Amino acid sequence: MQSAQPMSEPLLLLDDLKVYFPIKSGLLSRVTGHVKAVDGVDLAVNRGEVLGLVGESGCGKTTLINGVLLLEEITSGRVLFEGTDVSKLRGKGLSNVRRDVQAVFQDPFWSLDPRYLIRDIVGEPLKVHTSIGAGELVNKVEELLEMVGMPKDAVYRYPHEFSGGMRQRIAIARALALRPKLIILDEPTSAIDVVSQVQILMLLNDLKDQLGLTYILISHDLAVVNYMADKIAVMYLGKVVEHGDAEQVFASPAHPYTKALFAAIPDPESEGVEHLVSLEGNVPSAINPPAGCRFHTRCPEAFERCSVEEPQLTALADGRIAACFRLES
Amino acid sequence: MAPYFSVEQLKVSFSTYFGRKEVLDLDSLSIDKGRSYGLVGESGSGKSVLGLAILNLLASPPADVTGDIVLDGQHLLSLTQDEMRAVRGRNISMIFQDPMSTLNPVFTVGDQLMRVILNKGGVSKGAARKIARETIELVELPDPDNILSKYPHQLSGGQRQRVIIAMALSCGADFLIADEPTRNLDVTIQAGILKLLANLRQELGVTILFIANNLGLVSAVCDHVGILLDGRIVETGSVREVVRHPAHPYTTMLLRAIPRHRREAIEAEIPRDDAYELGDIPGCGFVSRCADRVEACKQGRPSLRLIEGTHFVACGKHWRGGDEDAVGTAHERTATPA
Amino acid sequence: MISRVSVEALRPRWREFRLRFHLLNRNLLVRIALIIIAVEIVIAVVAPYIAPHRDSIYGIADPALKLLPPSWTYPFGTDELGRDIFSRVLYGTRISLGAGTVTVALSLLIGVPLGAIAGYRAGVIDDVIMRITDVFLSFPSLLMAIVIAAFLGPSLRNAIIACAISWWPWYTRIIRGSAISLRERQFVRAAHAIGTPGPKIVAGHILPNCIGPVIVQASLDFGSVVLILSALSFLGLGAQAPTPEWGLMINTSRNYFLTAWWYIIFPGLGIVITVLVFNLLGDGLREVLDPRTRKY
Repeated sequence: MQSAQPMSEPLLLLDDLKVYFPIKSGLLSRVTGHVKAVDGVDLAVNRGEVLGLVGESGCGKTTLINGVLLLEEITSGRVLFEGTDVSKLRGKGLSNVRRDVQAVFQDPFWSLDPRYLIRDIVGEPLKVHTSIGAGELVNKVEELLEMVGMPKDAVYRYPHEFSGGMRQRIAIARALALRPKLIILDEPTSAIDVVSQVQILMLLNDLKDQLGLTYILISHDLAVVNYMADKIAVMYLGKVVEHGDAEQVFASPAHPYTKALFAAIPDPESEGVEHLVSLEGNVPSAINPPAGCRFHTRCPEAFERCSVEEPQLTALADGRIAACFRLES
Repeated sequence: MAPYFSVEQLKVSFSTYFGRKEVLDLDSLSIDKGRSYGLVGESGSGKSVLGLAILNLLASPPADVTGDIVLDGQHLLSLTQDEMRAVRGRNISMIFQDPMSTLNPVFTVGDQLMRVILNKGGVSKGAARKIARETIELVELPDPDNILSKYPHQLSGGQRQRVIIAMALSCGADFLIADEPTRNLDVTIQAGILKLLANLRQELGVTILFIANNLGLVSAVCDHVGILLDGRIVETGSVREVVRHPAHPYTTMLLRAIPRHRREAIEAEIPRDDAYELGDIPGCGFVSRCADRVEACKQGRPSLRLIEGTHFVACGKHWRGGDEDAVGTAHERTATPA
Repeated sequence: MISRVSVEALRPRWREFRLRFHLLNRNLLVRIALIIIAVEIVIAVVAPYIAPHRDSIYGIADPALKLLPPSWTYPFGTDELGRDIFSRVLYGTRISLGAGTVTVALSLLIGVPLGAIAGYRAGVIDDVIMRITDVFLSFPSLLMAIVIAAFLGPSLRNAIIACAISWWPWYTRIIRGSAISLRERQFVRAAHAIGTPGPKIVAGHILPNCIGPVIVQASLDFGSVVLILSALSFLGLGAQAPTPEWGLMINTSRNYFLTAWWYIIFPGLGIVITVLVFNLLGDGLREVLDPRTRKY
């Protein structure tokens, strides 16, 4: 089994990353507040590793990867890719980084332009970044399709002629076109049938080993994360609450939110609802997050300190980090 | 004794430009009073059509519905639209997936709930208000008066779904169809809704038809389960029977495809998806993806056969007779002829 | 090598087109409309060659033959200068269809890119473009066309310009709405992530996906455009004598209409039929492009 060799420098390093969205109101559209979608995230992803990012709606994971993909403007903090702060790049520099960071999105239909032939969908990155000729483009696309297990004659077809699983393969082929170093997988299997899910995950694993890729994987399906991820980071309301080795976190979650998250998932083998844990209350607003620990309003283990002070990510005995006063010795 | 709710030979098809497409073909499905039945299927299996067919909400061209649906002795498909309107809400109620689009954004929750109650007739405004408050309490929402005064967008997803459940129950319906009620909800909120449904079953004795896309949900709330593949039920039985001893390869996929333990080799090898023509494949709907397929699987669709107890499966592997011997797998089961 | 590649790429597009065409054809009325449109296009192209009395089209004729009722020699009769109305109406098809096409094309050329840019870029650019659009939209289009035509001086060319100027804002609005919703689609996000430059995203991804409703609108508009151009000519602001434009012919026929009924009827029928068939085509297209309104 391969485990990532930690290099001296992680492939991707997020340093106190913040992404805020201004709220404008009033006649003159003045800024009255901010949606603090990502509020100070520190994360490192090593070469060859798969980082699983989990959290529920509003936790900021989508905004986070939008930031990494440079689709969203960073409010403060740094995004260090191979040592360089890419959030400051524009123009040619930015374009070059894009070759190294690609993405596969959730919706297999709408992530491919329905009016484009497969040749143009998979070929788009090549057309944008290289001056490749028409004939050679077709060859390259055929090569990529073969890599993801698609028949060559798919080149001249439209997306709607294929099933969800096959469309996802096409999306993967597109992501591989420029031989990137890092691929963001945003819920890659959520919208396809169960057999295709397995096929796609197996394919992604094989490609990772063959091409030496690094993945950041978002999925609400913890079984998928369990299967693929080496490390896992749990997010709540814009911050990381627990981060560590996937096996450890799944075996014994430390942070109360992580515990609640895992316990809320119904397991087919356990009948009935007694084993399920639901959280009271609603997710607080990201505009005015609660004082102190963000989770304290819904935490079954909260005590007085939690509503006053905000816990920082601290290392636990087994190497992972979590932000909770209960875990500090 | 006849079951409380039953479906016999229900066939639903739609006429499209490319011809008639059969979406649902159920031999039989029955639910006893106070029990809950979970129908598990992925998108494209036809599960979303079943709820609408039961409530006679499918527009008649292009849909064509034949068969028999019986609720408490009444044959629903033979009722007129007016008679059906009386049944909806009073005897059967449905909860949909997306609470935001089921609730009218320009009216308060209280207005909408009261309207539903008053519509059914026979109560004064004061009494309706009381019922509304009680139903909100029933779905475990604290401070009912506050909730009633709010607009849908002021509530969270979980709260909205509880309001929908309250609306479904407010007219005293005994039979609840829940069509993927937790689809768009976060996992921690989903757990709350599942617990609520289980409690309501206990307290009120409602009969539930729960439509879902994974077995975990069904296992939490239901007694019996049916696995829907391509419009047909390919396996059915009590939740325990099906989950502990899955007979159909598709059920096994649903349960075990993503292994619980990291990087475990997947037991069944999955054949490559050959056919990308989206036309109809003759035979069993799973034939192109099944590792255990036999020749017979490509020819005809097998019918449900009894394995044991209340556990039935429709699978070529479990057919008896002739020289169709199934390829041996880890799940050898002998089928008792029906 | 390149030609093989292009031909291969065309085949699926041809398949798509044939499917769409077949769907369009199902409706009987649309089929009739399409046939009539085809006939009109053919007439427009060959009119100068098949017209029985070619001199009548623009020029000289025999005043002695004036205002003759329909006969075998003159199927639609003659006008006050002895010209054959049938030939002139045939040629008028060419003028109306031609001018209509140029007008709609001009409006699309102005309105569509503006709408796409406004919708995709949002922010200040969106505001600026939309305020300009609003200004144009606040004037009734016919009146604006009349004013502009009067300002520019009466001629068919100026009528076309005037009509196009009053028409483009509608398309901008439609396209902008579609562009805004398309902006959020995952394939646009994907193109962004790939690094496709903005203008390429607009031209390659946004525009092709929102052009549909606009095509429907444009073909519905074609009839109205023909009508407006005829109206402008009728008012003396468009085509000038001796151009055989339908609206102009109706204007001239006013003086004679009690005695020479043929003079007003046939050009009038030309306008009515043209407007009608393009409306039917527009309805048919809408049915094809928007599956929800389809009848089974």
